[in-house]
Amino acid sequence: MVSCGQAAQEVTDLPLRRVLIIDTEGSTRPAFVQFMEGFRAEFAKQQGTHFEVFTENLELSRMGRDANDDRTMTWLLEKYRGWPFDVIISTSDATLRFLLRNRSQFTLQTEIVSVERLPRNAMADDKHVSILSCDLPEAARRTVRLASHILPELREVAFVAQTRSHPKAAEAVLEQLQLTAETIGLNFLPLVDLPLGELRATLAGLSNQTAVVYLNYTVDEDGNDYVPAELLETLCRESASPFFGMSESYLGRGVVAGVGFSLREIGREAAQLVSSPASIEEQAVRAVAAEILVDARVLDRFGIPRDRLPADARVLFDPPQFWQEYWLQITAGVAMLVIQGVLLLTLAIQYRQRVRAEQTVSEQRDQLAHAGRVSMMGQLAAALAHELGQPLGAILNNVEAAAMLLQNDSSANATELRDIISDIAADEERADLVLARIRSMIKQQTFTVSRIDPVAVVRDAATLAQVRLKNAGISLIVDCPASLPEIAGDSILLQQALLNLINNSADAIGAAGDRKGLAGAITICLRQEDRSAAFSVSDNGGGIDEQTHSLEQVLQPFQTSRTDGMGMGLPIVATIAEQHDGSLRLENRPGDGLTVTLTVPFAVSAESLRKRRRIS
Amino acid sequence: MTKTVHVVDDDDSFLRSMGRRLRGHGYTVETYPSVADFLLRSDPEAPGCVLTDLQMPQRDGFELQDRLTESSNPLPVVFVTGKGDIRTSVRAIKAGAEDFLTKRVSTDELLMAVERALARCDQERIIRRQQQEARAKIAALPPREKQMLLGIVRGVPIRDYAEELGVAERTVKHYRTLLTRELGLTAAVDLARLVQDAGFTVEQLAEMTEE
Repeated sequence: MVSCGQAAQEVTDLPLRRVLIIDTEGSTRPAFVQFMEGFRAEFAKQQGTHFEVFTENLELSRMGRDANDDRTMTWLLEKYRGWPFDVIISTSDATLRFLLRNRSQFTLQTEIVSVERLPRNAMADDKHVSILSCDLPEAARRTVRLASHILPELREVAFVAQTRSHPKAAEAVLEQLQLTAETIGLNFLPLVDLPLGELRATLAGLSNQTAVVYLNYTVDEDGNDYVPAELLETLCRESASPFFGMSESYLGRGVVAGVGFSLREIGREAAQLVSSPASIEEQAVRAVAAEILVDARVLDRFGIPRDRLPADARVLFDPPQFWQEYWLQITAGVAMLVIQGVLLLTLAIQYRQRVRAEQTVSEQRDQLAHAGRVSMMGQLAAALAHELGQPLGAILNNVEAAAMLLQNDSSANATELRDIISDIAADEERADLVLARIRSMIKQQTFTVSRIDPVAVVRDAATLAQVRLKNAGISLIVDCPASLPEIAGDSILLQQALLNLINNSADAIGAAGDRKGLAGAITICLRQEDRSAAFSVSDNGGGIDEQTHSLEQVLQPFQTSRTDGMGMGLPIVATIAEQHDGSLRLENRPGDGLTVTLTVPFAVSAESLRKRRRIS
Repeated sequence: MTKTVHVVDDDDSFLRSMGRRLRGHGYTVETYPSVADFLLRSDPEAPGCVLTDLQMPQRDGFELQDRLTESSNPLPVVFVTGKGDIRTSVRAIKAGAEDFLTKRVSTDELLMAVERALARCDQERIIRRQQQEARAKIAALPPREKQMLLGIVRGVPIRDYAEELGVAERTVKHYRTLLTRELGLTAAVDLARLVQDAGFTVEQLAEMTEE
């Protein structure tokens, strides 16, 4: 016995109502548990009356007894002697039958609230019986309708029930199912009161075109007792058919849906009736609305789209939306991604800045190297001019003086003339020393022969020249085949030769550009010429004015029109061409430009080059 | 008076040969191996010109030119250089060099440069002599006449000046005639030119009268 009334000592002045909830089955049956949940929840709200609530779970079917058992009633009456009840709540038809059969044993004033599974109970003509009616046949009808609606392939409706606990209800449901199934053109397969083994075998053999409507199954042929909801779970697992249940307690056990009565709702209704005695008399029958309950998981298993469900269906066990379930993880993940993204971006920007800085540094280095070369050449030129200027000036002076001496006086002073001649000789020697010094300086460059790719030479020279040309606003065109045979030589020297030619062209363009305002362009071209690679550098710098300089002259050292140069550009190239057994060719287009072509023979073998060099 | 061409160069061979070359063309030549030697030995009053190397150890050609400009008898300077870059030549010409030659100079260029320098030397000497003479004449005037001269060259109307000195206009006119005659001039307007030739400003002249 369970009392859920408030403590007596606190509320002695309140009117007392004593309630007995009686159930013919066990207290752990889900249907009963849910009923009690609803009852307690509603009951807790009631105030103004002191209640004493007792529950009796008779467990008749488990004990192998039935509702006609007199001993149980005798025992109950004995137990509650001296405890008059104001209200007795009967949770099922069977319980009501049991109660009414012994109606005389109770105080006639005792009110009975009966939860029934049939629209009307023939026995409920007792004026003290108030009925909470759950229209099971109607629910069965709606179940079949629902099944045929959500399963378009449906051919058959099977019905699983045991009639022993609620024979009338089961029969009424069966009738209604059959009628409905036939009405909409479905086959009807009653599986009522079958031994459990046979039932399972039959169910396992069914296809998904059969909807199984499950009412209950409590005891098998060997007297084993089952909780209907738990057995349902096993049956669902074994069968390919979609199951439909007729109670809220069946939801979550594997049924697709159930048109059933919420037992919690029934519990709440019962509690309301108990707490207001007046309503019991006024409303002898109170109908509980059936609900369409759907198990989302099973829906998904049978691939039933949600839009087939009727609008009033309540979907249970809907798996939480991905976002709802994992919002924290998702947020954290996205945040991580964003942070990582920002980090990556930052790193990328830093990397780019570094690359750019390195590029700038390398450009500056190139420029510096170039400036260094230029200033070195300039210094060399100045030194040369000064060093050679002295002796040459002296020689010139002496020659002129000697000439004057001889002109003024034919019998010139021989001593004076001798002095002059010896001075000239000394100065010539000085000049020669200067030249020897410079020669030794230039000779320090070593000449290393190896097999080299002429294309690479052109590419490297173009890269090196790019900085200066870009600054000067001169475009550089490289016209180069994908590959040429290798040549034998010193790649550094050849590069220097090309750079000298490019520099010459750039200078010519710089000078011409001021005059004509033309866009400067230099073309480096690599071609095969007989058995040689021909490197040519062309410009649009106006060419050489042959009236002031002959083409032979420009190949001589120290011929320059510039103040900062020493006129070594072309002579050095000529020397390099010679060192490579090649040739240097000038093609002057006065008023347009100059093309200088340097040819270097292809490498036959390193051996042959050496031989050739020895001969020459 | 013979004009001397002074050649300054630290390169012994070049110095000697240049001396020979110029002598061959009939010039009187003095050679100096350094600027210091030139400053020590050359006659500051003698006419002529200087042919100097630009780059020399210790004092270079520019320094020599500076020293000459400061002296009472600046000789025209012709630079001779082994380098001949634009910057140096511009600097030299700006500093008042007569010419700028390279060491390997042709005879024509050399002679033209020397002749030009010597001509300029003559010209400058004439101007300087005139100046000195004018100065001497003015300096020799008695104070009263100097005062009158100042008034005349100042360009103030005679009447105003006479009033300023508290003398008759006629007196001023008399002094003007006297001064013109004493200074050996033909017209009164030449008085102003004389003061100009002397290189005196009105203020300098005023200072002299106050002495």
